[in-house]
Amino acid sequence: MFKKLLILLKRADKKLDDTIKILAATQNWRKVYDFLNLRLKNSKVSYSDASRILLASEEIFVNISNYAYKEKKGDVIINFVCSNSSPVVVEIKFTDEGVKFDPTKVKMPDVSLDLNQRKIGGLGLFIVNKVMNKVEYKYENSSNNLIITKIIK
Amino acid sequence: MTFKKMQKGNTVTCVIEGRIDTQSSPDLQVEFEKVLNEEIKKFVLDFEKVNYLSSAGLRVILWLQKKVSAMDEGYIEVINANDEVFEVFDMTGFTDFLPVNAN
Repeated sequence: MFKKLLILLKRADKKLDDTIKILAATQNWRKVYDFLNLRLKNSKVSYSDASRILLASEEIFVNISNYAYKEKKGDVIINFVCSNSSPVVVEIKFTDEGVKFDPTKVKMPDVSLDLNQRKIGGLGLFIVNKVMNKVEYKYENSSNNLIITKIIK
Repeated sequence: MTFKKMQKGNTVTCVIEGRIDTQSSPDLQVEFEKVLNEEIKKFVLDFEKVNYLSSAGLRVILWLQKKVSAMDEGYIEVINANDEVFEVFDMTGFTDFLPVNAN
């Protein structure tokens, strides 16, 4: 009985995996959303900040899904880290082995344009830069590595 | 995401519920296309129960707004947006050309 209780306690204490490897495809976004949302909730990140981080993550995941592997299929590895420091820092790293692409070099759209001049699309990376504090890119071991960071105030 | 529409004269109120993201946006566009086939001039998008909006959703809303603006006396507005959703409209400059009423 006591042993059983210990096992149950250990299970409850087991940390959530901080990494998910998933096929880069837009229909997998909800799985990524659930993965990140659960960890954000566990880290006690506020609803507003969690929404911003999820929003940025969607834009990155969708970009990788649409462009990284072209006609081929491939995975993306997503790593979630939340510091115990003050202020709390949330870092999400996306790694794919697709076409080399540095999103930090993309020209941002002009959001002061009026309706007629607006092109449909192109806002994803703009949003990422708006809601996150840092966006860093590294090409390493034939992989694209993108780290988005949010400092929770 | 769920979508309900209520028509009164030439005004339609679209009540959307849930997350508007990369997976639900194509369905939202299909719903808007159906509404556009009717004799509607005024589009009210009730966002009270929308708890998440990404650029995929903005894309569909911009698409709809371009269609509505091309109509004679076409009008479109978003009502009851929550803080997080309003922020997305605001940071992307949509609030400069789309009336968005915060909740």
